[in-house]
Amino acid sequence: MGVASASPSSPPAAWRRAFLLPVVLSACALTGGARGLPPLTVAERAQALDEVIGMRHDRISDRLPVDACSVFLVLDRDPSFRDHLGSYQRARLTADAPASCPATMAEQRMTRDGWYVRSVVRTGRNDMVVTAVQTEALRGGQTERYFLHRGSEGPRRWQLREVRIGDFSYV
Amino acid sequence: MRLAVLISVATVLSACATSGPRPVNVIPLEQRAQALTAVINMRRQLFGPEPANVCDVHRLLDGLSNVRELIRADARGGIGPGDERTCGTGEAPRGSWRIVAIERQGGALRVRVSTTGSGGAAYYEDYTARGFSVTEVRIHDFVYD
Repeated sequence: MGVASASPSSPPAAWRRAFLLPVVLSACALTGGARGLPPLTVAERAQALDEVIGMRHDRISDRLPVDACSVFLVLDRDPSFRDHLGSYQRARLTADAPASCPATMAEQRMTRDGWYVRSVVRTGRNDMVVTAVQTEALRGGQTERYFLHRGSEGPRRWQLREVRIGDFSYV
Repeated sequence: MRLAVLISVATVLSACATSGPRPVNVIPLEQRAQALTAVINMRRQLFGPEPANVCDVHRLLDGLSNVRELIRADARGGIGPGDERTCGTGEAPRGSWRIVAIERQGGALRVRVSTTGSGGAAYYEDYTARGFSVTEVRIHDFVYD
């Protein structure tokens, strides 16, 4: 079995690079794979969101619901995305059906009062950051960044290490 | 010439030794009052109406008798009931969050809050205050119940 040579009908290498590179980079932007780190699986992202939603609701604010479409988008548009979350966290989500959600995060409009996940990014082998925005038409809003870490031993669950809240626009 | 230089250096070193290190953490009262105003308002905005402990405000404002007047009017309602004259006697009201320190942090002030949540969970909140505004809050060192 030798290495197959490229067939004359296959696209030129330059064309393939031009086409594939943006696709690969775009995928890596969500998962952190661009720097040689293993991509975050849907299960890992869901576990991190479980931690973040629970902590936010218990400790920071329970006034606003979690936008279900933003969760749907960061969990790879999995139609059964709610099943990845715990029942407590599931109950905090709005009632949107996946079919009514936008196709990309860029199209996600924060038109109603709520809490929107914007990204889940791996920043190290055992570190990730969940970024979210809280917005209210009458009061203003803020950006929240949740820093999670997992130990190198034991069950290796992602645990919240620090929350940073900023970009305040309260009136 | 060399002797004169040596004597000068020795004099300066001697003066430094007797006066000790310069205090770098002396923050004017007005700036501390501004930071506390900012934190009391922001914490109410973020976490709800539970007021600050009057004795914390009293302690961080040099134990003055008119602490409520030092805090800007829009935050005065965020200071808990109680008479600051009772602070230190064991009769002061206690809440689930306490302001424990104010420190310099570059050109801003950092106000540290210690919080005990429901069920005994605990963590710190660090507020970065510039004048009467909070620019960032960091919540960290979670101790789960």
